[in-house]
Amino acid sequence: MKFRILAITSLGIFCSLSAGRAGEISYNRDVRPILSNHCFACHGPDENDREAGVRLDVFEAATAPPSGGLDSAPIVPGKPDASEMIARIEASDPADRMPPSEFLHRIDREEAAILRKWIEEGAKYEEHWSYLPVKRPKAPRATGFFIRNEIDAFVWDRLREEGIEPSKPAGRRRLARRLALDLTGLPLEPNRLEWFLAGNGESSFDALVDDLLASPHFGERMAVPWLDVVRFADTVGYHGDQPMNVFPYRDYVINAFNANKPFNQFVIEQVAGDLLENPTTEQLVATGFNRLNMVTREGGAQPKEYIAKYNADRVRTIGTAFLGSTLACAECHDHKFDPFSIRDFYRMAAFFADVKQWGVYSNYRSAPNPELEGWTNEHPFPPEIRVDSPFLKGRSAKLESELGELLLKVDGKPMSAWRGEMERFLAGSPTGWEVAGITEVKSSKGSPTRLEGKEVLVIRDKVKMKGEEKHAIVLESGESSTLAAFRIELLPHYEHGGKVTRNGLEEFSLRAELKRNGEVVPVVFADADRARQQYALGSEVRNLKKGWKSRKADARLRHEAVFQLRDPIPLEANDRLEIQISSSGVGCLRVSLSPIARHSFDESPELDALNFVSSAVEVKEFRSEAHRLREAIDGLGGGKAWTLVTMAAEPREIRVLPRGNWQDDSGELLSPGVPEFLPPIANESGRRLTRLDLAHWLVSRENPLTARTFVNRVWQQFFGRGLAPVLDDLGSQGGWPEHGELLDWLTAEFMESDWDVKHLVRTIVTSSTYRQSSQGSPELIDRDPYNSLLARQTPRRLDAEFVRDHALAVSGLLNRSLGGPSAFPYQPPGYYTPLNFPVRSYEASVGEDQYRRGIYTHWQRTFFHPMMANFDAPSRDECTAERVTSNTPQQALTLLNDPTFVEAAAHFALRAWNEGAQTFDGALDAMFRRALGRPSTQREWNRLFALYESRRGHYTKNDDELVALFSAGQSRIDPGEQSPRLAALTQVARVVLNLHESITRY
Amino acid sequence: MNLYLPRTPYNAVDVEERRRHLTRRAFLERSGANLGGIALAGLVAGEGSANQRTSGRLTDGLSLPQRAKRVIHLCMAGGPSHLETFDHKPKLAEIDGQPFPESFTRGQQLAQLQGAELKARGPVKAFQRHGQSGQLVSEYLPHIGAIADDLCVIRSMHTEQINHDPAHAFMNTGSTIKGRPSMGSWLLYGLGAESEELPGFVVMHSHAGRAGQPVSARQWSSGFLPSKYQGIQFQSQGDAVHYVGNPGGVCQSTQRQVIEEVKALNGMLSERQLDPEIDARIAQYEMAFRMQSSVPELTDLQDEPQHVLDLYGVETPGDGSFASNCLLARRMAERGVRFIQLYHRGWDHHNEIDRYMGVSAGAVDRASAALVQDLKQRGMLDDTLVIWGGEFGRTPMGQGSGRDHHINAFSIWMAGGGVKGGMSWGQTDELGYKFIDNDEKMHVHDLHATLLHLFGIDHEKFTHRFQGRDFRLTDVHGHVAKGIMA
Repeated sequence: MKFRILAITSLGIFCSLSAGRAGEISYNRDVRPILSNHCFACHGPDENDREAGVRLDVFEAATAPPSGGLDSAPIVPGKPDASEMIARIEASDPADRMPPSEFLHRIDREEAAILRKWIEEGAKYEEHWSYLPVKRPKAPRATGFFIRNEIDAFVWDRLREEGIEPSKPAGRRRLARRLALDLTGLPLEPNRLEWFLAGNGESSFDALVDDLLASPHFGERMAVPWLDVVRFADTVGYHGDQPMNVFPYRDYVINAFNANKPFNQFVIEQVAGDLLENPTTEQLVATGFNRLNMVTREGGAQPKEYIAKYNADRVRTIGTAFLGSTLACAECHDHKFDPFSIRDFYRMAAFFADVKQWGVYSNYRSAPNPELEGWTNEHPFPPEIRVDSPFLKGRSAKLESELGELLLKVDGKPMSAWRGEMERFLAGSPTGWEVAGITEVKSSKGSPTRLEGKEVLVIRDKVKMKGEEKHAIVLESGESSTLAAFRIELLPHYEHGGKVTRNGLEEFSLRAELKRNGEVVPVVFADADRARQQYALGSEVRNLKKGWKSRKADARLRHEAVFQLRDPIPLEANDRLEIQISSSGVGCLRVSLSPIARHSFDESPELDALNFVSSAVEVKEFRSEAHRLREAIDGLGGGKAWTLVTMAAEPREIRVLPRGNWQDDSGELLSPGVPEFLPPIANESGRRLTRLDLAHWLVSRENPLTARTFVNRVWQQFFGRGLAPVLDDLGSQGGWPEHGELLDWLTAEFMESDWDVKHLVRTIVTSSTYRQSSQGSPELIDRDPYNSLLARQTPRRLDAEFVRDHALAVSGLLNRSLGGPSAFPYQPPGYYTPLNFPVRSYEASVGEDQYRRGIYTHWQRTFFHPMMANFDAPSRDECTAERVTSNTPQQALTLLNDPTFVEAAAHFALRAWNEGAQTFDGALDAMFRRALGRPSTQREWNRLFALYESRRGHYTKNDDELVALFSAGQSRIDPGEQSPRLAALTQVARVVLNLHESITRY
Repeated sequence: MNLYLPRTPYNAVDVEERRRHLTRRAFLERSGANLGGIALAGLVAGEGSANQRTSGRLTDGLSLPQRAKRVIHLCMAGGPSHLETFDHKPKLAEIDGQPFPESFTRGQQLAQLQGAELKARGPVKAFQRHGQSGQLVSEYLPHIGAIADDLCVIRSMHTEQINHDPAHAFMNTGSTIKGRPSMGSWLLYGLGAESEELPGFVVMHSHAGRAGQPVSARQWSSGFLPSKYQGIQFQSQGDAVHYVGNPGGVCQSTQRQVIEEVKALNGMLSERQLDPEIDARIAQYEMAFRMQSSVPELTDLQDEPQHVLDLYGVETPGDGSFASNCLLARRMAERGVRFIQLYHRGWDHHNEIDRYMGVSAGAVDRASAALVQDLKQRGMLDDTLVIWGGEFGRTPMGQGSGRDHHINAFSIWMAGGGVKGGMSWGQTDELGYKFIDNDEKMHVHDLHATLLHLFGIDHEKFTHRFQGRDFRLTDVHGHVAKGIMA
């Protein structure tokens, strides 16, 4: 028995805990960690780096007859004294001793004793637990109050062995708060909490679970860790870190969790949705997954090098996200601890060789990409598709109805008078355009011009001119007495070889400005029938704001652009009307005028209320508001959004890159394949395997890793730690799962329930194990500091997104709408200064968009939001399976001083004040119930009342501070006479929002 | 010697470390081991059990004499040309404008010059000998030249990454894979901070001249180390540190009282709930409150006399210029900040190198030299290591009117911190194309190994376990350049 204690002591954590476990040494639990840690680096799976030909990770090799300089086999089963390994470990001569001193690892006496005992017992190897097929173990027979489901049976059984009692169930208030935060990332509404507290224990608990699982916020909560794993961000990450269009993918993930899409389907759609038969739009959106790696547009970057980086990133992501494996290690050499070879790494990369992508997203001389000719730092990152966004559609419909309501207010009388007048005008000019006569033209560079008739201007150069030229074109005003829009037509001309451009140029650019009596008349909308699309930060620029530019292919076609004036102008007979164009390449043009506003080129001259407001000089009311709405509606593009997708192309060649060197083409050419030691993909015909094959393989019942990896991560969401302790490494170095059978049972249950995520979550949260108190006792914590045995719950600080959500929710500011584009929470000025290509500025979202949930925060990879960074959100450069949880002064500063939290505190105070019958007691009670789900204690009341009284006095005396306090963020609160009280209560609210208990789920 | 336990309250509150500490203690007590007999480092570092998520293995890593206590890294972002700064190449001048010998370039990676015709470009400006050591420095940098006797100029630098972003990552972390800790984080992790009121790792930015290449915040990330070791970016606009200023309408007394109440109520929670994080949280609020006064005190340059401002060439204190940042760096060094990194952007001289060298050098020359002199006057240079250099060099071949990125050779200098002054280390070939492959070559990994050595850390023994592997700043490489140590 003495030996047994020694042995387990070396395992460090579970010393006396494990003492109760009788029986043999287990290779997986006891021996593998020692060998993996100290021996495999030189005597393991990496065949290119194996010292003295000795291999200790497989029985056959380790027990093989001596070779080389060895006296006996490294391991002789049953005979530790005859085993070279033991002799070397115990050698007194440092020259013989293993591991060698320069390796800096030492095998201590206890570990050596375990190895001895293990060899004595026959040196039985076991395959690594996570690589074994998932079999459903039989749950231990157990009955009693603790046993609600199989989870409890496994936990109970083990705890009984250890002689530990499970913890008491958590109090019902805490339990309700825990459930709500774990399942939705939001606190429970007080009335819902009261309902739960008043209800019958078991059935109201189940009802609450059902409720929360059915909440649309469940999907948002579940999506956060998934977005970490798939490295979802709004920008490309390298160099200029420009935006990429991808938010519909985030909506896809949220919707998938809400709709309880079977996880296997979820994986297949993301990895290979484009290869499914007749893929739906949704399935294409899902393939954004393959495009979320960081990419570059840096001048001087070599496409080949970056393609190699992208390939490796994808393999790492597949490894971490699905296989729980550190495949990354095999980029340069065979894995040191797990049986992944360097070939496995590149065979995995080969699955993605068909993903259409550019190494460098521009056409540089050093990186020719003719397909991207003319692309700038403002362009998006193709391939993309345009898809419906329910969020944008909803917003568009809302604005449309606002515009409709606004126009209903327009006075009918003057409108019909205007209509009568316009109908008369249209009788003479049915298109609504009057072609304007030209009286005079001046060229800034003196290129010759001539008029054909009175209206058509032809421009010719004697020599080819560089850059832009300005032409001031003086017009005759027409019949109409007002002007609301003008049009420029560019006409193909025989003198220019039938093109609209001159001097052999194929493209033109043009900017136009209207002047009346020398003064510029501003334009509000502009639109062209043919134009090269211009971009700003990946989005289409509207209203020709970056000028009108043509496409080569259109050079022989007539072009037209219409310009609507911000305010219509009256025209007098002696007004001097002039159009100034700055252009290059324009060869022949004609200008028309109209008294009727036109905001797109294909509009007929409607005499509707909107055009009345825009066209009638005397009507000033509603115009700017109508234009604002019109512009916002246009900007929503009919509720559609672009999103990155995977498009299959001819597969690129994939070779083993020796030592990961992308310039080395000497490596073996590989076709797609899965790691050789894992179950293979059946492929009798020997065809090239595809991403779809990979996707099916990942979620096949035989794959031992994908489901285990996901179930383990989900478990972590509810217990703070995985059943296997290292979420991103279920391999040799990843640590032994103390409840391995439970993990396997849950994994089998998950797969056999048709990969039902909500069922998995429900099974976990309805267990007694989940419902335990997180209190713990010093003895228990001392015995089991990581809570591997699950004799209690674990307190967990909320993730960054939910710290934000919590404050916004309790204060009543939270915008609960689902999905849509990213939002921009307040951010300290100047944070983006080191960004360039293009230079970036940050504009905080206004209105209700400011209060969107944390999951919708704009994710700028190189400078992600400081609040998120301070609370340990990852930058999402790389697949991240586990966030660290730190506790830093930056977190304190954020909660104290970030305008988001100060504004929330003010609103929280106001809300509680009103809910609490405008008394301190009532307000404090409301605050505590909302933020902490409980009433305050007497001692808490005492202190906070003292704070309230002292600050009330302070703000009464210092009322100059009130405006600033109530102007945090975009709010302008004016509580009038109550101001000092509310200012004081705001300080109380700040205390409550800063409490450790507020940001922790117990 | 209690070198291993970082002296900041940061340390006392890290949950992983507390747990490890707890575990280790429990282990020691139960196993009857003698506490005094085990390196204290073990307490911090854990025993490396595979059951533990993060376990550093600092065991013997700090056994060396510590020469430097802090670093000021003047990072010339964009990649200054070694040929216009510290690497004098008369031979290159001789073949100016002629085809560059193919024997040098065959099979080599190029950036924007990929596929272009390669022609030699001679140095744009002359070099001068300086000081007793007679070191050659370009006329672009007269002030730095004037302190040549304090400088150790390293001309054999080379790296593996030819584009800015990965090259910065390589210079900072020794890897291009994201999520690796930067050297500042490693140092802080190993040694802790010396200040309880300021972050231990501070980053500042300035820019002058040609378009500034972006520099990502991941360059000062703590990667897989706990986030408390990450660099804190000081802003020249608004609050120096994010959220360090009180909100509008909240005066110091109100803020103090709010923090007091947060601490008091957290204390009450701690009586009811067993959770070490609560005490940690209380300590963080205290630290945050101290930072709220110590950061403004640090960045308030009003008490700096005019002659000091003149020495650095500060025109408007706190204007975000490199000169102002250098002065702030000295103040941080005085207050115990462990790792100070000043990025100065604008060195990416693809074109008009003669003009832009003037701008870039003009912006940093005086202040860089002033920083070294000022530290020296205050007796701080001995244990403050100043490093000056970029993420790579520039081609001896011309690119239009400039030079392209170059990884085979570049120059940096160090001063103080246990490094010999007035010396040169390493050489390049006659055209400045490639480092000479001898004992004095300096790969980025070698620079890291040397840096850690100066701090008394054995780079091979200073590791952190992540995803089942013991990681080092120097990966599996790195040679210490002992020849440059004083």
